[in-house]
Amino acid sequence: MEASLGTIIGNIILVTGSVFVLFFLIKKYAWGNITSVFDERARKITDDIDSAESARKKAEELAQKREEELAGSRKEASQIIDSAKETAENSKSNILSQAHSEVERLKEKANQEIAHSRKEALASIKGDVADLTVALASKILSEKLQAEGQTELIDRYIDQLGDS
Amino acid sequence: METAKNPTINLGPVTFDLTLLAMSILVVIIVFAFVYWASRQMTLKPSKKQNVLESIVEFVNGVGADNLGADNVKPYSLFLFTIFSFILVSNQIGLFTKLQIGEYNLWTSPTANMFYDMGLSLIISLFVNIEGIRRQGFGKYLAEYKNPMNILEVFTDFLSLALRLYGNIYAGEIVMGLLIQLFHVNVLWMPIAFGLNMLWVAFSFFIGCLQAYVFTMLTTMYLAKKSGIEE
Repeated sequence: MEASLGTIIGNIILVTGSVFVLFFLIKKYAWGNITSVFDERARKITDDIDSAESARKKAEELAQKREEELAGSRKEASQIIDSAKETAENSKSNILSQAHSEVERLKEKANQEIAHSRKEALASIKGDVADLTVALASKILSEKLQAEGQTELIDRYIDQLGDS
Repeated sequence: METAKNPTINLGPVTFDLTLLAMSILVVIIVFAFVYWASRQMTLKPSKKQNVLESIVEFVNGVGADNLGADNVKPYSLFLFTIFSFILVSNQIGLFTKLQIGEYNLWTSPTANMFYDMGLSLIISLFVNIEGIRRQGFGKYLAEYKNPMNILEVFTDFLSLALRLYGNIYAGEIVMGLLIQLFHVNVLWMPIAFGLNMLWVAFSFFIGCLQAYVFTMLTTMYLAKKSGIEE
């Protein structure tokens, strides 16, 4: 290898020129694309991670809310059941006491009616007996008045009638 | 073994090596064509070609991030990528064939030339030291050279960077040249030379990739050292 100064300088110029030409060619025509795609990818990854994070947070919040709502409605349901039970209990005792008093009233009324009709029956029987007795007595009288011996008997009847 | 010369052209005092010039242009075209082709219509979900390009860029960024820290690598990303891809293709391109017409050698890895590698190394040295001044300020940058070992280091870093690359790639070309000569010695040697050459090309390919990585890695390391972002 001939190592004259001219060759050395020539080679150095050559390599420097080549490297710089390559450097500027890549810089001008290709590097923008390469770095922009890298940047874009990095940005997209960051965005995706961020949005995933926020979506996770949102979901967690939603789940929390659901749970709270569920607990609330459970409480409400038990309240409703309790109040329904109470109402039922109240109306049950109401109905029972009403029925009781009704029964009481009906019984009273029936008793009164029974007593009344008994009284009426007794009165009517008394009247009938008196009529019958009178009719019987008049019959006997009309037939056997002549017989003096019967006088005592008739008197006694009449006395008895007066007693009753 | 008579060494074939590269054709040259003299422009005033400067001698240009035409083979190296052609190979350099070829490397630039190959790298740029690939990068340009792969960076069309880039999408968030990468296509196949985009994936290849992106993984190379990511790899270089990863190498840079190891030494510079992930936050500092971004401004140097393009420079490191250019250096890495340029050296990677330069290292491999000489393996494809050997083209020799008369006494002129017309096909080589440009990085198999010592002064070519020194040119690369010079770019790195200048870049690293300029970045050191820019990031730290001139006073703080100079203060480092109170220790004379650091002055020496500038030259050893420069030389080791260039010579490591040169040695690896030049050795690859030399052995390949020898195997090709062996191929021509006798018909009986042909299959052996062919097989050995295949093995050697595979090995050189590996070495070429490795050296491109090492060069980029050392660049970031020097950069970290000079710009005061050494962890």
